[in-house]
Amino acid sequence: MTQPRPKADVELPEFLGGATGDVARAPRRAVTPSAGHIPGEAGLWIFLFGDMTIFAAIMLAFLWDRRADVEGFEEASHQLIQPIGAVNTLVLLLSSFLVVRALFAHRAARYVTARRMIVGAIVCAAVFAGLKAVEYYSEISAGHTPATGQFFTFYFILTGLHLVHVIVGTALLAAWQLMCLRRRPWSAVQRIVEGIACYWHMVDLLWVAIFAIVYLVSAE
Amino acid sequence: MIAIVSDRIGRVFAGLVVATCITWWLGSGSAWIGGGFELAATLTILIAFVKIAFIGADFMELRAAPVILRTVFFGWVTAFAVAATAMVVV
Repeated sequence: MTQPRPKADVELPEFLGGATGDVARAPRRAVTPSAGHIPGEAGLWIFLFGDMTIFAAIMLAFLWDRRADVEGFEEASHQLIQPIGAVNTLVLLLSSFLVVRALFAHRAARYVTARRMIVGAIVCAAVFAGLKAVEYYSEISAGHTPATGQFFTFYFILTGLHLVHVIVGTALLAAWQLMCLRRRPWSAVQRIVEGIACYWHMVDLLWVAIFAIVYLVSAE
Repeated sequence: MIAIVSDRIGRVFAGLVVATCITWWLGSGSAWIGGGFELAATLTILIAFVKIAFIGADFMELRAAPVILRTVFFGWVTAFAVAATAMVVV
């Protein structure tokens, strides 16, 4: 009678996404934060809320001015390429999802997976910026500049400021990618990485508000 | 696709995508829902801010954050949503 042989642990090689050494023993599921945990630094949240409030104030000023010229704002908003705004919303949501996945992977010391997710988020940011460039080119070619009227002044201020945030966020994602490449342990970079992730999610949520208020509500 | 929605984060992401499609539909054809501009605009703003709340709670992990941080975030979302709706509808 043959004894059943113990099942051998089969690990994929690192270049196929497998893990090595102590990384192989890391949990594959997300390690959730404990209750009462502040993502990133406490001071970061003062900056994030300040930034979010500046955007909120500009959007509320936009809606306030719209009340005095509803028809003008509606006509101007119909000049925007709404499908580009919608696709950009979906692209940023996908990037946010990939950032969450990258954070879970980094937390579990799965550096290769984290790097792939971060690259995916950076590609999404590039797609967003590319579509925004197409939209700007189209608007300016049609004679719509920041000096055209109140609607386009707000449009270029809001989307321009947001695009700057996308560029800064992309640079932060690239820095995170470098940390994963150097296999910096979670305990050493936790606050920085959580801060980068929260900044990126703020960029995402601000676009959700801009899309709803500038592209959709104004056109209704 | 099934693998994407196998956990809470995946389901939240799928919900956000569906909500984006709904707001886009509302924005491109408000007359279809029969309630006119006010209803379409209110629904558009409401759905957008529910999306923002989920991004904060699940993507930013504020669900597990201290009460003060959660209160400030969801207070900001509520105040902004109420102010935006009031300026559009009232």
